[in-house]
Amino acid sequence: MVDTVDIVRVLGTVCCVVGIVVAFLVGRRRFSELSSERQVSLGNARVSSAALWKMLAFAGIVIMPLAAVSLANYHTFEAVHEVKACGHCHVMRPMINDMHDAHSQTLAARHFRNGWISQNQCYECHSDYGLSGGLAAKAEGYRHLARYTTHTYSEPIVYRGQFSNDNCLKCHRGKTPFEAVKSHHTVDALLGASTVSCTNCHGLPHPSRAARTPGSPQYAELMRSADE
Amino acid sequence: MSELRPQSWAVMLGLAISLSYILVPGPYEMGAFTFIAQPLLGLAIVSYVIEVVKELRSRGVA
Repeated sequence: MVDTVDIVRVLGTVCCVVGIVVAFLVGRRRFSELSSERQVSLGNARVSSAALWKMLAFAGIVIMPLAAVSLANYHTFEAVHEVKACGHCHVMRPMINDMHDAHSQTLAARHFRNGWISQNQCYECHSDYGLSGGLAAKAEGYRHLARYTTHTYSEPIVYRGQFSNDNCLKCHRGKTPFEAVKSHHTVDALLGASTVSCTNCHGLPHPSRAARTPGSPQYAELMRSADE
Repeated sequence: MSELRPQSWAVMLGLAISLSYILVPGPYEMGAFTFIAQPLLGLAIVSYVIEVVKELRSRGVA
């Protein structure tokens, strides 16, 4: 079975390589010197060499880049759903190591340990970043990317936005264990508006800031690489 | 149509960065793709369209 990501890699590579070659050829061509009279065979059709080069320019400068950007954005919007994609940024290691820790009591670790979320565990609780999320969440995602790649951040990282309870309620609301808790109904409107956070009562979702601060006793353990 | 050299260079650079991101989707490749390659490719396309419109106008088509 071929994965979508492999198809994206093959098609993306073909688009980029063909695009680079065509753009190189188009860049060397002097369009003002092209003849409209000289005919070139193109399969069954015959076109002028000027028309042929203009079609090539359109393919190399418009079609191939658009195709390559669409394919590359598969990684941006789809492949980033995977936990390993989040793990590429080392500031995320504490969250991922803690999630895999069999003794941790954080919300992320309990969800993982009990198999409450079968795959894409990071994304399922942070789905605002995906295509379905709002513009503000996407702008936040780009800000995180810019801060990380330019090293303009400091540890421990701090979540600046407001976590939407919808990420929790999309699974929990309507389920018997959730509905059976009287206080959930008391604060239902506040939960819906994310005025009251689920974590107020259910504990930390990830290791505390103190634990993630460089120099803390837990820091080295939380930052260990997955290969160690 | 005048020469398309700047557009071609922008496309080649943009596609080279895109290729690195497609093959190795790490954070730095993603940053380069998002903040360098996409704007470069966008700029190349817009500037190509401007050249095409200029040529069409000079021929009295547009």
